[in-house]
Amino acid sequence: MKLLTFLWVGKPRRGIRYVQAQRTSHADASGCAEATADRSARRPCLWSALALLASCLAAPAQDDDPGRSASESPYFQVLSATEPGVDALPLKDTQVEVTIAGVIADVSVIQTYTNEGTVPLEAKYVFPGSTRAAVHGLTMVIGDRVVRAKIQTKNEARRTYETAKAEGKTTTLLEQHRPNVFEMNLANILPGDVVRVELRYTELLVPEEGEYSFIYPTVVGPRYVGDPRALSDDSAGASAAFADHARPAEQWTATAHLRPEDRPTATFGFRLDLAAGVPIGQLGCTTHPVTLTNDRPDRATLTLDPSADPTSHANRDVIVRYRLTGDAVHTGLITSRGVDGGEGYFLAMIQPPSRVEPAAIPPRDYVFVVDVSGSMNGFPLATTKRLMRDLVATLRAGDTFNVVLFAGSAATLSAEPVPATPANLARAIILLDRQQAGGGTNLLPALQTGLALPRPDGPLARTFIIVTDGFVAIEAEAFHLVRQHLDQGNFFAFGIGASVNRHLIEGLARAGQGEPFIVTNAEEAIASAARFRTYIESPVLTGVRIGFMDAAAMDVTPSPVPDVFAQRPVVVFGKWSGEPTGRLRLCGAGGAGRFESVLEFSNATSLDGSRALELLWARAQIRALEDDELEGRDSERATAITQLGLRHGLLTRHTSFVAVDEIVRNPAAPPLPVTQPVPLPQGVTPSAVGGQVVATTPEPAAVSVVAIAALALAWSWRRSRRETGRRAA
Amino acid sequence: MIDFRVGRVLRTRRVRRDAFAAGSESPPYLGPICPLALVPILLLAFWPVWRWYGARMTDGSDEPLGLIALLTAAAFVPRRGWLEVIRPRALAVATGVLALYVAAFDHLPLLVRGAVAVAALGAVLPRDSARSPLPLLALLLLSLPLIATLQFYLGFPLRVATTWCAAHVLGLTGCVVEAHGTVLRWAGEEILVDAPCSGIRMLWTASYLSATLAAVHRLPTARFSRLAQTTAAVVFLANLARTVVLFFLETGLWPNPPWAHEAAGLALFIVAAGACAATARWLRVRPAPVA
Repeated sequence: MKLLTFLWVGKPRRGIRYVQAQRTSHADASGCAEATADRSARRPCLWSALALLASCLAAPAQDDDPGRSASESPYFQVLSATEPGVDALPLKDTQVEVTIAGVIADVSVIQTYTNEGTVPLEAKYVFPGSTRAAVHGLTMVIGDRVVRAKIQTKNEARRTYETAKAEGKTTTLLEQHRPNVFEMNLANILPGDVVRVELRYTELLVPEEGEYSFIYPTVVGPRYVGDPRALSDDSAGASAAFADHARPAEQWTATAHLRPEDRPTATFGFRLDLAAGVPIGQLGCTTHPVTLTNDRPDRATLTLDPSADPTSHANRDVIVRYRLTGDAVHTGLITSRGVDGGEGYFLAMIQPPSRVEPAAIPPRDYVFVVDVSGSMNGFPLATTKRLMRDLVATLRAGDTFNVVLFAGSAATLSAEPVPATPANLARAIILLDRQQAGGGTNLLPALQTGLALPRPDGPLARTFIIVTDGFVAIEAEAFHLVRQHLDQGNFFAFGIGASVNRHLIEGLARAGQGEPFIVTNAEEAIASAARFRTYIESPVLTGVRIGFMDAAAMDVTPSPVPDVFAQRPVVVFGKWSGEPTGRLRLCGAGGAGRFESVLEFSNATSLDGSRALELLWARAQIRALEDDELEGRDSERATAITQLGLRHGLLTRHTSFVAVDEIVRNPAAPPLPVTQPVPLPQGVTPSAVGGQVVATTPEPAAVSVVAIAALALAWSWRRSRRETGRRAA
Repeated sequence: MIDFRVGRVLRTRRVRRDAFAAGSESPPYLGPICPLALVPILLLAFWPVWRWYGARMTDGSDEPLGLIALLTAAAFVPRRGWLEVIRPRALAVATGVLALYVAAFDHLPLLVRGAVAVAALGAVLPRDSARSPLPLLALLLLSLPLIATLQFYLGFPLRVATTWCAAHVLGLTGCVVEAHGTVLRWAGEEILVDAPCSGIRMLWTASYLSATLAAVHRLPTARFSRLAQTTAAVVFLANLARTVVLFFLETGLWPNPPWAHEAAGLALFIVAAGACAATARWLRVRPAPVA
């Protein structure tokens, strides 16, 4: 400490004297002079020199071990995708082929991976799928070898994959993280390899207001992984439930995204063949440039416009909409026998009664929970503002409302619900207009805030409206929270953006007994707000019940059937045994009174020989089980899902597809893992990724800092020169 | 005790210089044990170090800023004195260092071997008698691939300290910010003070600036030490201020254009570099006024 004190507090005068002494000398003031004194003075110097020379002779004889050099001196090893010889973008192409027959779509997705580098790769690619997809097949093609994947339990499939990878075999593993998020792993792609992986799925198309939609998502948006501590302040008890079901962090949410300035290199193709069975009225794609051909009135083919850049398509959902002539919809009963000839499966699509405008509409209380997080920055927030203007404009004079805006934290318009007066509506609009999107997407605390808001006086029914892009990974927790509070009202969810997390939006609406709305652009905001108002004011069918007469039906889903707000068929899946006889009866309360519809099994359309109904039934069962994974009896649910997946050969949360090429192709070195980066969804700004990965405060660039140091040196040197010059003058 | 010994050493040196200045000692002696002979031998002796140095500078594992310090150090080596006999003490230091290198070769990390090598080299290089040898030695040490190593060992403590101090400073502005390790938490938002935020790059550059300024202004050892301490404190404060400012920018509390982040960092480093340069000028030895 004394030494430090001396070094710091040393008197400047001492230094002045020291340098003055130096200035009086004309050569080295200490060292060399000593060497000239006499021979005895030089002797130590000679001995030192000899010792030095001896050391020098000894030193080069030793060399460091090259194998240790990298580990002994700490440094950051940058094993990034830009390393020479590594193909960081192995996914070269995705081709989607869709065949729609009636109401069932059969989809084939072919991903082509090529290794243009010099080292073997293990590629990982997280990609989206339809929320209604029943993924039932995976095939890997290497050269002329075709390997069909097997369905296994998730852990078993992972073990099979890792073993094959370690043995140097080319292998692929397809896992499901969410009903609409999948992960493809492909190991031992050797330099020059072209590996094609084809997955197949089936989905049911249900028309709404007479319009059919086929949606193919192309990109997984950046998910915000919230802070679990954000729940701990809640006193409503939900947090305790979450704590009981605390899940480990999920690795798939760390998706790699391309920077906006980096162009995607993977091409994307899409082809849809429609065989409607009845003449097609309208057909079009609202999101991509397409070309249409139809040689028959009931058939059409739609492909992406070949003149458009094929690498520019995969940043938004492909949405194809079509109507049948006269707004006809497919309804009725479809049956099929099981492949083994035992149990059969049925699908009932029952058109509800027409909507009737009620004579009097009771006032309601509305709670808007609006996402203003970083991922909503730009186009999504602008669309949200437009939507909110339209939504609040639908409120009636007797209604009350409140607004919860959330990002990292939540803020409310008012502590109490306010009447829907023009002044209060204007306040809400101004509050929203002032928002600049930023921060995380803490949806659960925001929902809790909304649920905890005081209710208005009087018996007003309450409706929660959630507006978000859904870029979170806590879907199950959100569904659980909504289900726990169904006694407080029903929930409607609006998804905003070109590539919304439909699993969250549809799941929230399903759990909250409401309806989902997807708004992909500002123009759709007006129509969506109008539809919402219609749905709220005049539900199509309530108190829906399903019954069977003289029919051996079982495992019917959904059960119970939720209220119907939209003008779309009620869809019921089930199994039957024996012969397809008897009747299915659906009854409920429509706007014009009691409604009843009866379908005869004997008149059902038969799809014997097709597995489509079996797959769709199993998928519906699995969805019901997966929807609320926090409802308890997790092990029973997991077992049921696993059994369904294995029995019907379906990809689920607990079953995966794995394919192994039995030829050992890479016995030498383990493949280098690379993650295929994906573009940001259209309209989503980089702040979405920042919000997820948390912001940092990196230092300025090295070049800038060194340049500043050089300027400081130049300034100091120049001033010294000037002073010297003045002194000399 | 320490104070007494340091004072005695300085007194002894002053007496010898005064004697040389008064002409009672001989002029420099020319002989075979000179830098011109020993520097090539040392370069040969330490060839594994130079090989490693070259690899580290070119493999992308570290920022090659050390080359700037190396060139600067070379610029301060006087052209005279390459044939003068090396002082016994310098020779003893070089011998001792080389002996240490030989004896502990297997146990020394590569970076320490590098430090030993530049210390030996610095001891036998010709010296400008009017300059303290420490700035030159500091520049030689800074020429090593240090940044990744500093980041590894010093980065985390610096980040923790910066985070903790930033949370308290932000508390003064009314923001309730919690410091959790290297994370600032505020209203559900997280600002991470990660490795690129540690201030190591600023610390290296400011250290280089200080060493160069000390050599330019011919600062004696004690004053160079004071300058180095001032530099360290200024860089820490600048990095702290940078973190505080960037907290407001990153959380969106201060709406900002995309270039604001870099501009804020540069502006604060300009202040830090200016403070270092001003301190060096203040500490420089002014000639005595002419009587």
